[in-house]
Amino acid sequence: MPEEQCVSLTDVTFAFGKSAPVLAVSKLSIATEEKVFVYGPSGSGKSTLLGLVAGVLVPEQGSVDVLGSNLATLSATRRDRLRADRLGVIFQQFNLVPYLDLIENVLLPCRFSPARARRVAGSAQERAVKARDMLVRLGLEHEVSSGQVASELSTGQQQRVAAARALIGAPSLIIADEPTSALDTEARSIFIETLLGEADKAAVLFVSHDMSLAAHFDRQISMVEINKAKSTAAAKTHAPERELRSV
Amino acid sequence: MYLLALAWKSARARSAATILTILSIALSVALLVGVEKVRTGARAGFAQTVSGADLLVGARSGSVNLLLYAVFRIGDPTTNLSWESYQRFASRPDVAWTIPISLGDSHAGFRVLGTTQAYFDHYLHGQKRPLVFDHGVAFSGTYDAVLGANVARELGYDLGREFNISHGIVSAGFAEHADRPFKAVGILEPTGTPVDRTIHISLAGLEAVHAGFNTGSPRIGTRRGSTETVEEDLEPDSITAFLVGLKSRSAALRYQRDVNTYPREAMSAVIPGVALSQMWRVVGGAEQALRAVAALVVIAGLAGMVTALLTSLNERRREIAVFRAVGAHSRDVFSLLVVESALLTAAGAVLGVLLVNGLLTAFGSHIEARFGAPMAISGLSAYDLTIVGAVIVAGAVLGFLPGWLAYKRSLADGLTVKL
Repeated sequence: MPEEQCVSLTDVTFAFGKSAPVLAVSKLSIATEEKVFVYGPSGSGKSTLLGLVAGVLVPEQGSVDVLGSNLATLSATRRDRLRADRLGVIFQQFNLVPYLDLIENVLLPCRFSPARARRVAGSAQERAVKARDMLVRLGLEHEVSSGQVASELSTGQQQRVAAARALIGAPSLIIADEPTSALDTEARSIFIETLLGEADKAAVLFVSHDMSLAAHFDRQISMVEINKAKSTAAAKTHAPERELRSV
Repeated sequence: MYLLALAWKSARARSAATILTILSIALSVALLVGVEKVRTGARAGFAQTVSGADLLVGARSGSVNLLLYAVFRIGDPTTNLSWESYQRFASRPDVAWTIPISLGDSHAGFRVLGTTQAYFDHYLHGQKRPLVFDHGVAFSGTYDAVLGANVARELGYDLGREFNISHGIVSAGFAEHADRPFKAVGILEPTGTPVDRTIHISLAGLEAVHAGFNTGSPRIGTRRGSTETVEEDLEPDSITAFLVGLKSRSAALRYQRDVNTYPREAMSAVIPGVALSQMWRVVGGAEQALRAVAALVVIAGLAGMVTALLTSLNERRREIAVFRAVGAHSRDVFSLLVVESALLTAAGAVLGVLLVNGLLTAFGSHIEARFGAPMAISGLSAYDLTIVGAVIVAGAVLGFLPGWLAYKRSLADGLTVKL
């Protein structure tokens, strides 16, 4: 595994408005192509961490280096551009734009990033073919052939389309926010394996409270341990914390 | 460009709300444009009805009233004008021509107008266009009649058709002058003025049927009412009004003063253009009120659209988070809603203008017939385009509100939407 840093957080604090900080991380780094599993109970700052790494949130202090740029000093436009060009994001659910078809959903990042579009293919037709191939690899051949729209898919199928969208155009970092929480156990394993199989050239930052998934990853990080902010919900409720640590 | 496609797809996905929004904007724009079209149409129609005459003279009354009944056939004359006074003012040296007008009878709901050959020679309408015969000729005999275009079309009358005229103006006159029918000898081309809805006969013809009707009911046993009446006897006692063309327009004011101060009979002379502008001053307030109401309806339509967009924002927060996650700027989110708002208003405004133009093309002549007011309804006009443009701009500007809210929320939500 290469040693270069893909993500590096140093002395980062973040607060919503004027309230007390919800996140305080002194050091967190993810190497290129490293698959990292971040776990912690609700309210422990997992989503905030992802927002910072994705460049949607900006830290009050500290630096968030992602793929060689300090997001804290980049303009909003540059952060959006970096995200469009080099990141893939998967949510817990409701990942798709309901009125676009599956291929349009997968190619959505290419609409906001010419560089990413070029990485996929030179022409719009070729890109559509690539997107279709990806969906077929993820087991959605029937759905894409019958021209279904996003809202007609099951949750598991929607998550696979979301994975295809995150993976299209070979991003360097994939951020996933509990993408399996709405799936049953079997679909969950298939999803993780498919995602990690397709993302072998990317770093993955995967957030979940489901410890049964931890074994799929190179490294496991406890949110409660790295987040020193006093005001987090996790800091006040110790029971789930202990349970997770025992894994 | 992609935002436009996205906005369109997003609007289409919520088709019920989109259709209702577009429809409400279309109807409000149709109302606004329609009010203006009818307003300018009526003004142009009235202005075009009489374009060649310098003065209109009738028994003393308000100038608007005189103009309405004598030229536009709206309402009824109060008093007539004596033939002697007409003769006196028609024979002045500064007069080029006069057209006597005698009203009061009807056939099948159409007014009958007694006049002379001068009517066909000097009456001008629109841009100083003379009356033209579609077929046939002007009346020459006592019982000849010339039909306006609508009269011939609506009654299905052709040349040679014989009919009776009735006293009064209801469609079934309370007494038919049945002793001798009139015969259509000419049919005029359409003019878009009340001429189209008028049956023209000679003064002698009118006098002939009225010979026995001076008291409003036929006098039994008088010789003059019989069909053997000879034309020389048929000089009328009075007429309703007359139009005057002067040799020099500058004489109009003196002529008007002479008529108004004529000691032997109380008469009024009005300059048609002046009387028209007086009339528009009277109805101007109502017009303004109507326009204001129409404008308010458009504002209500646009407010409805903003409400629909704001309501949709909650369900669209996830969708907006998706756009942000794949690299859309916050300002893209803002633009998406502004574009969508502009798209909906554009669709509504264009539909509204097409709707009102279609309706007026289809029913314009019906409105004219129904209300008796001449209308010169224009097609697609610069005003229509101005309204379309203004409504789209207003729609886009109003889209700033949902756009700004979506922008704020997209910043606050980050990648996680908690609903």
